[in-house]
Amino acid sequence: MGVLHGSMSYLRFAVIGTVPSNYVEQYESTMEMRRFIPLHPEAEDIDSAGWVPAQKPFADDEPITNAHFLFGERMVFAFREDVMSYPKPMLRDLVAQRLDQYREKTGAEPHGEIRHKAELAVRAELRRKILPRSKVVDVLWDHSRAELRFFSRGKGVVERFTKLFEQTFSMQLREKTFADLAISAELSLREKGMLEGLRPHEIFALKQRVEAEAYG
Amino acid sequence: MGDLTFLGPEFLTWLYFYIDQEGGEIKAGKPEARITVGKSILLKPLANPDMRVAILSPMLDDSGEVLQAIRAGAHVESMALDVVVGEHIHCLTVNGTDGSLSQVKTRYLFAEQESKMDLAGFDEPSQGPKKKKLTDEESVLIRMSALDEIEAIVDSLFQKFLLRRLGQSFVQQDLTAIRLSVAEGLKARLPPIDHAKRQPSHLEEQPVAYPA
Repeated sequence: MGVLHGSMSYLRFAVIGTVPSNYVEQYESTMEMRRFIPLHPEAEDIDSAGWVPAQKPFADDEPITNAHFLFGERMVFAFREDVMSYPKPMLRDLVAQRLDQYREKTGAEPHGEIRHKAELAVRAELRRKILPRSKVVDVLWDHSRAELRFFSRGKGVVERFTKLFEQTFSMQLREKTFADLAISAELSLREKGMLEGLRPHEIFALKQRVEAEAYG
Repeated sequence: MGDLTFLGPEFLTWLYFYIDQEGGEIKAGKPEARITVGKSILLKPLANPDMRVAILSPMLDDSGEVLQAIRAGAHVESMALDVVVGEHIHCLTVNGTDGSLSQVKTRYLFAEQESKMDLAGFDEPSQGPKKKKLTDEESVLIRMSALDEIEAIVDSLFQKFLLRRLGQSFVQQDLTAIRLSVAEGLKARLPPIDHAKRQPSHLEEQPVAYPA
């Protein structure tokens, strides 16, 4: 759920850098360069990530144009990642089946390389039957405030998104946590000095520590 | 600058008691918003994130669990808030550690606005005649202006907390008030002692029967 539908859960980022004057054309081409490319059934890679239009995240042939992503001074697009994941018990059983066939056929015990080849063959077979796990996360970039909203909070996906964003747009992202709000707040010199030396305050000491201290 | 991640949980803990001390509702921001605590809260000690207390209830502190967790050394990690600004009712959860907002939903106060709510895609469409669907551009505009409104309120409350935290008022007034509030709240939740049913302790003096 994100920009267009449903309840919204998101992280806030400050975008550090300058948006070029011809950003519409420039971003159209840079996003197209790093657009999402679906996993091929015959290929060996197990994950893929890139940009897609937020309105049609699964229309793989649809080009990303400014008609999709431009909303006044805001840009709306989506980060999609597909991961091919094989159910482990299924993989184990099918590999064992293959190795049994090898034993029956040759009468010999399969060694390391044969086992590896059997696993690769099973993975290739499964790949044609199993759909990859897809995740689509909406992104809203407000140029007027140099802010970005990423509609997911998962640590891994945030890291991968940040990396791709920085590669695509040559700009840095800084997460807007409360600590960051405090650092960027308008404060007097005295208050800034106080902030630098700030330590957590305990309302009540942690129970275990109190007990540990009491019992030496 | 040192690690200031503790400011988020400290802010939410302060906010919980600030709302409580103002009678369950505070006013903040421009245009003025009325803010109350929502239906869920998550508490964790700053020093031990593996321990946690999660409470999900329309009457959050009836049982006193929040106060007990605070008394045991926990801070508020995330907290649901209901924010009313003009005709909008925003329900959201503020997360202290990463500053994110989650489960943000917006409704309208008045019945005639409900149709707009459906159009805005904030909620599932209600039963009844089919309404015109908004364009993507209209949806983005309405939904993002709701987020702008909410963020401005949360940021203004954080700014208020930060100025108190950097001054003397946090230690001299707020912490004392929180400790008092916890002590009084827990005391008020102690079960009443029924003196009539009370069994005498073996330490108490027993009446001695003297021979006639």
